[in-house]
Amino acid sequence: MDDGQVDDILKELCKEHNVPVELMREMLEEERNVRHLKRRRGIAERLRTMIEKSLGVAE
Amino acid sequence: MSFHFLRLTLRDWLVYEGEVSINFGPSQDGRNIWVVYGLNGYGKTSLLRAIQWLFHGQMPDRHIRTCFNHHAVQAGRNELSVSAEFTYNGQHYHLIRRAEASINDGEVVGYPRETVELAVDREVQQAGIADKIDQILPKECQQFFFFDGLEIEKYATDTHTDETQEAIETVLGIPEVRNLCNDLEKLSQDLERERDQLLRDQSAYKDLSEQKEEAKVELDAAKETLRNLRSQYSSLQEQIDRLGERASTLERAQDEIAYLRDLRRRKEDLKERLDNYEAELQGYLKVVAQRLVFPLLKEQLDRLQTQVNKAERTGERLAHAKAQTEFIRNLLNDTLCVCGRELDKEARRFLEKRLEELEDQLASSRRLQERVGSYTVAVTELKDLESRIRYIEGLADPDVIQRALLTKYKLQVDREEVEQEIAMREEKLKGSEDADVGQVFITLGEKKQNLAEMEERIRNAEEEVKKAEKFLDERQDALNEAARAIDDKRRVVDALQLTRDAHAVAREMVERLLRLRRDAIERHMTNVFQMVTNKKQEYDRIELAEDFAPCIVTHSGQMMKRNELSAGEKEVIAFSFIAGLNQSTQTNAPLVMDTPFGHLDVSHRNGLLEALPKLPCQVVLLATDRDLPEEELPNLAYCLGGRLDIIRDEIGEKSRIETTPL
Repeated sequence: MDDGQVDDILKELCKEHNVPVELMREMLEEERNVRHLKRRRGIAERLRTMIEKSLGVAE
Repeated sequence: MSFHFLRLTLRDWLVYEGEVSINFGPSQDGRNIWVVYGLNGYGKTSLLRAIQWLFHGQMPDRHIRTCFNHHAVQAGRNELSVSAEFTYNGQHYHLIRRAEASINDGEVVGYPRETVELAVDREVQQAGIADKIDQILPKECQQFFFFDGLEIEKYATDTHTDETQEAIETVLGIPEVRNLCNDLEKLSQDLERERDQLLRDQSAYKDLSEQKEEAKVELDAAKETLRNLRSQYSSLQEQIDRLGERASTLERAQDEIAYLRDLRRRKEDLKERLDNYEAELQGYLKVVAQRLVFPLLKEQLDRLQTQVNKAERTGERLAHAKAQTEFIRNLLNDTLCVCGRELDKEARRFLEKRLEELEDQLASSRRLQERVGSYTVAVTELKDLESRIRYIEGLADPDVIQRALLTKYKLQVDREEVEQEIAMREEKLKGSEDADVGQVFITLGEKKQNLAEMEERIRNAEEEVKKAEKFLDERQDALNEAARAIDDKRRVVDALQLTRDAHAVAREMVERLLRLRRDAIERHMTNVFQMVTNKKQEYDRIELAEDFAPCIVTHSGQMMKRNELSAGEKEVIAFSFIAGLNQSTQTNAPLVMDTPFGHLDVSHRNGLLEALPKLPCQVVLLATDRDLPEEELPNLAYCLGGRLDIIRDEIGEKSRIETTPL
């Protein structure tokens, strides 16, 4: 299973739920960056910022 | 291969005194297996532990304090290190981990201090080294890549522990998606709370709005009051100014008013004198006029006298005419003339004509005589007038009249001058004359008192305006704040929806990924298993339980129970599972296997040796000659990257590693 397959699933689900793919990629990348940290402080705020930014761009 | 060891170097590590290196060299197509031979106790597991410690500073069954080479410590060297050079995704990495201990009496005491260095493409990393290492090989995944062949049997159990399951999911890249799912769920809950707060804020905003409007009305009213007061103040100030000026003017005008009154008295005096002179002059002028008409009267008198005389003579003629008329009439009544002759017709006509003429004269004389009476009266009056004029004539002395006229003229001039001055001064003192100065000053005082009171009221009104403005500003600020909060929270509704949708994506993604990863692992591990197992006719495939625990399924569809499997079969399942896991991820770290064939019979071992070259990663086998007899090596020649031997110096009690040419 390669990244392309994962990306295809992501695209399919994003389309189904009307969520920007870039937003999901960005959030997943953020989660990858903090996954190994014991304290994932601020992740919720950063996710929220991404979501709001995505909404702002959409506007 | 995205991850390939180039060189491994140990310094004073366990049985390896001094510096010992293993050169793997660059990766070679189709040659992914390196065999490190060593007898039991020579240092194979020490190598495995070194690699395990290098990446995350942890080992399954040792503490770093126990890893210092005994001879080095005895010699006073208190530092050990393990380093590796490897390539990862096309970049060159050099990772060094050191431990420095305190030594006392030839023994390590206390806890060693560890340091780690990482250079990527020769560039030393200053920060985030642990994060970078974890990105290359997650700590919990390390067990699937660097392991003891005798220990992997645990992956062939009925159920995995939570830690193992988490580690498997980590290798499969699930946790970040699962974490995202959980984080988005929490974020949704936060946003729901904010949305609820938004509803409350909107209600509060409405209240604030109403308060602001009320504050605005109050401010407008206060301003209007202030405006009115200022207007009144200004008007009052003007009144006071005018009153002040008026008071000053009136004060200054008192002397002039007195003078004006004098002028008026003088005017009255002049008027009286002029009237007197006028009357006197009228008398004089009457005399003078009469004197002027005297000659005319005289002439009239003479003419009347002539008329009277004439009338008197006319009387005489009238008497004569009457006598003649009588005579003629008598003649006409007789037939004879005085001469005695008979009156003929001719004479008679003559006499009649003469009679008519006389009668006309007589009528005319009578009318004249009638007028004479009136003439006589007029003459009498005129004579009386003449006598009076003659009396007055003596009185009407021209010098007296002239003096009177001059005096009158002078008086008139004086009066005009006085009148002019009065008019001028009246204009100037208009309204001042009748004013009550005292009252003006009283009014002025009252107005000034009013002004002072009004100043106080204005100050109060200004304070009210300031208060109202401050209150309004506060309401406005609160309103702005509330509006911003609402505006921010308005986005919350949209953000909440998007978060929920993203959460659904993440949730389904976890499910889809797990399913797909599981399928992939099952496929890969079945392939490996089929290569390794010696019961290909019985065993069809391996399936994974929910917790990724592998289970053999026979061709008849039967799920094999763990207790029905031999130790070797369990090891094969575990290896197949690790190999399947390895192939199902993007990690592709090298497999470093210590004594991998511990429980395997020849058949399984050969199957494994057949499978290893097919793995898409570097494989380092730490083996005894029993695990992998040297005579088997030629069979691996096509995929062998290198052979290394651990040599033990029994005299010196230390091991070293030598590369043996293939």
